Amino acid sequence: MGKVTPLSYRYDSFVLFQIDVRCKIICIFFLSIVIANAHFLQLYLITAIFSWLLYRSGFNIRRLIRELKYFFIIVIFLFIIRTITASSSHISIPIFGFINEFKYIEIDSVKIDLIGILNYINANILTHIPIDKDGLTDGCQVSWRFFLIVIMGILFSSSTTASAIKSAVMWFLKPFPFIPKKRVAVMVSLFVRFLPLLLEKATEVSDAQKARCFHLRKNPVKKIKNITVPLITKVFNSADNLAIAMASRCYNENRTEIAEHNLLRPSGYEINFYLGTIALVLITLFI
Amino acid sequence: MSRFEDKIGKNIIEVKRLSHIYGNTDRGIKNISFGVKPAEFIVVAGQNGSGKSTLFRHLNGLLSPTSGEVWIHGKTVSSNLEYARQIVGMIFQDADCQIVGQTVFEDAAFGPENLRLPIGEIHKRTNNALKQLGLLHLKDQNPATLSGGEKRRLAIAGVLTMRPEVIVLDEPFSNLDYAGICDLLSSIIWLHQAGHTIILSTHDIEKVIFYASRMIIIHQGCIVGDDKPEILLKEVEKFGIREPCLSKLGMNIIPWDK
Repeated sequence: MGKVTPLSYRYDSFVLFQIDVRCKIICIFFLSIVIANAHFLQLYLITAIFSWLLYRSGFNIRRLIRELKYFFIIVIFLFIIRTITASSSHISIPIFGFINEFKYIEIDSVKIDLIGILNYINANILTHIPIDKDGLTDGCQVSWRFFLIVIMGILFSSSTTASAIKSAVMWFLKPFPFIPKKRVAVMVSLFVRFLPLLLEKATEVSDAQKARCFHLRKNPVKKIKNITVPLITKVFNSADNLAIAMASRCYNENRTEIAEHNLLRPSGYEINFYLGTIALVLITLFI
Repeated sequence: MSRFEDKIGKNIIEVKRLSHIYGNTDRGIKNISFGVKPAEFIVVAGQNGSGKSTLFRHLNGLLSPTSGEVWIHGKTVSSNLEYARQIVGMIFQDADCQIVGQTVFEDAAFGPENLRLPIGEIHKRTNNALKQLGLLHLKDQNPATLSGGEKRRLAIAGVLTMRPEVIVLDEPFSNLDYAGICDLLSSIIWLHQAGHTIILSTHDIEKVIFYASRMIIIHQGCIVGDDKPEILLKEVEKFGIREPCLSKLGMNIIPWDK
């Protein structure tokens, strides 16, 4: 059985999977603006809503967290960078005070003065890095917003087929006469189609390399090179095979689009999503 | 009368002095000629890299020949690509690579959509094909969640919706377990009994040889044998293909899945 990544489309009877894709895109547009300007109150609220949507969409939250572990590294990195760049003063933090009892550690019968090393880092490196309350608040908010944007993307791509997105893009581009609607729509849908494939291939390559103890290597450049080269080869091969399979089934731009007729059909629940989004916009604007 | 029976005797496909050489190597196919009659079940046998997939990709114009030509019902493939791809349905070795849609229904409907059929006809053909292959209850599922055998059946459904006369299967049994192979084999036999011409490539002829009406052996890009399977069976090991066990033991061939 094939692997389904968090970004892969899954079928479910939950309302999120049934609503018109145009409604989802409009809500995402406004929610992105809300999230970009959200403070802690709005962030708590949106996190609660997204958690409920993830749960009702059938996501196993623990598994999702496990699958997003590399993404969390980026979030932490973003938090650190943002905290440092947004801070203007220094706070003296007794970071290493709690490990006084382990004054020395022994590696291959060589005694290492751990406290000495950590105090050196504290005195010569950390005290030169600005960290203050405003920076911590800002870092926390920015990384939280980034996290929510990604969760919103996961909810969207797992509940929407590429052909539905294609149909919606064509519908939104209808008023613009000089834009090649079909070509743009195919490009968008192929991009969405390839995102889960990219993740799947990356996992395959990484697993194959782990099986040969690749994780014991320390050189990060070599690590990136050894993952990237086979990944790019695999992705290009998959794209090539997909293009051949599409050609063998007579693919052309001038085709009947059943998705346009089937998927752009309101389910009746759209009003709830519009009202929820408007409420969040108002909360962000006035609170 | 089957819609194919009125054409019996005439070749559907004519391959004439077909060559395809990759770059500056000597790899590819060389000077291949043969014809395919309606309702035949042809097994194309050969080692890995012997040129089976290259030959198949010329049958519906996915590759352009270095020299020679393929004709379908008297029309050249190179100048009638859409017609050729409608008549000759291709099922590839890797089932995952040919899945285009994000639901089982979308994937099966991909071909008729490209043929610009009316919406009602697309729904009718797609539902029929999925029903015939026992996939209708999975029509809203993501194809990635299907088993290997189900994915192969979906690939067949995707081709069936285009109503092809000839179905070409490139190493269809690779990466399938025993149950998946039996499942797929019964679908292939059903397709043949429904009147489709089957051309199937494999390096393991044991599974399908009982059902085949003709065997073509390809070795290093050339046809080295083209006859009834019972005539060629004793010679296959010269070309790196394993002779079926029962044939080795001097017994009659019986269906592999029975």
